[in-house]
Amino acid sequence: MKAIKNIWNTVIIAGIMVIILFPLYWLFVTSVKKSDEIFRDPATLIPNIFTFEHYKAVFQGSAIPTYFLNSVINTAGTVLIVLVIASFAAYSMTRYAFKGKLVYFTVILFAQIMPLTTLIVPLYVMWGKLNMLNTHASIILTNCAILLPMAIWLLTGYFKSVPKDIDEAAKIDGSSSLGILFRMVLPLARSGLVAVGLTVCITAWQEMMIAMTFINSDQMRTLPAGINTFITKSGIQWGPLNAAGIVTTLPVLLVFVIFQKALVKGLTAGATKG
Amino acid sequence: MTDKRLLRKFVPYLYLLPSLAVIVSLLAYPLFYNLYVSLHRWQLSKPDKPFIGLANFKDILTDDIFKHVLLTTIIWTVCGVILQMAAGLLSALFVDERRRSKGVLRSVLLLPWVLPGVVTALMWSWMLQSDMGIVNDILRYLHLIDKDISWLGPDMALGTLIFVNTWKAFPFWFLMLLAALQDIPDDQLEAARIDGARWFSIVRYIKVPHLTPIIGATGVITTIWTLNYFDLIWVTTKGGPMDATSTLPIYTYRLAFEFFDFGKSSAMALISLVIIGIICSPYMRAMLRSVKE
Repeated sequence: MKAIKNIWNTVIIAGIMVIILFPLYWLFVTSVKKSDEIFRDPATLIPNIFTFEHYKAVFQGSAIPTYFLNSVINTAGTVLIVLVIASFAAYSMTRYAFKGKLVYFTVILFAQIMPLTTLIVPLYVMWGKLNMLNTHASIILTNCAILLPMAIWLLTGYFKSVPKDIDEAAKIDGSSSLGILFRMVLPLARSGLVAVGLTVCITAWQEMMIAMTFINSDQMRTLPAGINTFITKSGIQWGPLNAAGIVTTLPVLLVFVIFQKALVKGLTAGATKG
Repeated sequence: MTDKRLLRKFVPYLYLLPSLAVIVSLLAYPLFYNLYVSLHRWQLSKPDKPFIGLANFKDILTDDIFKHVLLTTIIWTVCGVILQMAAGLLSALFVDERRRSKGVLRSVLLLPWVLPGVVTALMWSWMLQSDMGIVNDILRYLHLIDKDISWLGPDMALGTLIFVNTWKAFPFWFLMLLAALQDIPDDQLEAARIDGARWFSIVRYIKVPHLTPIIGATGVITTIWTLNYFDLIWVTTKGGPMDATSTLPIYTYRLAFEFFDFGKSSAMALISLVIIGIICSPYMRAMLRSVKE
């Protein structure tokens, strides 16, 4: 009986692994096959010849390196601005009593459900009038606006869990309000900060709708909006396309592997508290 | 002294100032601007943009395509969220009971969620190619089909994309539910086991009731995400073939940047906002109540 159960469990584990990992494996394996092998029927599960020619095409024969750099700039800018502004806001929400707090909270809550489609047309017109289409700033600021409410909401939760007696003690020692935020609250809410930063990072990295709408110059395009450079009228170059997919995935995968614990802890804080 | 006290009164507002600047200029103002645009005949091809009241809304609501888009959106969202929840719940229940493989399984199951949407879309459209995709190859090899299936054709596209989106989105459910499951006190489960409760009764009478609040909250969040999800459908089908996968965000975007009818697109976006607002209002009210306390 026990043995049968063990076999069953192994089968289920194997099934889960295949469903999740096979698509990723196929993405990778297609990127390292020679072009004629990609289209071979029946398909080869393991490449006969490993090649990095598609990666060479991506890095030397396309604009992908520029897109990559743009994505890094936009993502880093977004994460930085969102974390700073959201920290100030969450600090105010959890450490001070003031008029209008509930109104502010309602706005933050409402802002989180606004579909991007309500913003894309007015912001397109607005950035156009300001002559700011095709700039990093338009992408970064729009990303910030979309992600800020969620970041404030989550950070408020984390800051609340930092005991207030700590800043009372610091206040008596003569620390300024800013000093308490930077030396006490932020270090103690580190895991929350990391979780919010990662969520913002992962979301901003893959943002596509804003980038493809506000950007039409090759100099400024981001990876998600530019990856279809391999989809041409004469056909789809599947080799380079899959290689570019790997290139787009690796940075977030790396970040995920390094910070997985903090991410999981941060995201599920709400699920375990109640 | 009084100066200092006055200043102190302003401190909380000073901290809020940067966020307010962003929210007012990049969320609130655009939302009102959206309303303004929606009340005008605002087409990029025409220089004059006359005020036409609610005509854009009337046009949309009486158009057959809107009914089609709405129905597609409902199917996409309802089926999607139910499947995500089912997959998330089953995998969370399974992984929660594992000892040695728990850590590995959790890492692996989170991968689709981290994978950029664009990559998910390209990866699956490559695998689902009807003539040279690996999915049809495997199914033919297993003799489950004898003719290639056109996964992204008019009949199958919506169902296929619901499946792919489930693959991508269920890890969030899994993560939330797993965390909640680990929170159940061990003695409760132990007591039930000693009393001879079967696996199914433990799940039914102890685990699921414990999960209910998380299922509610996660349900609202994933409903908004699924309804608004744009990248996957845009990259794979752009809403086609023959509008088979045209959901609200896809159709709204196409109205603006393919048909260049900003007025109609803005009206459509506001209709989406109202629909989402209605879905979320009980949840938002609960959140505000919990904040007030």
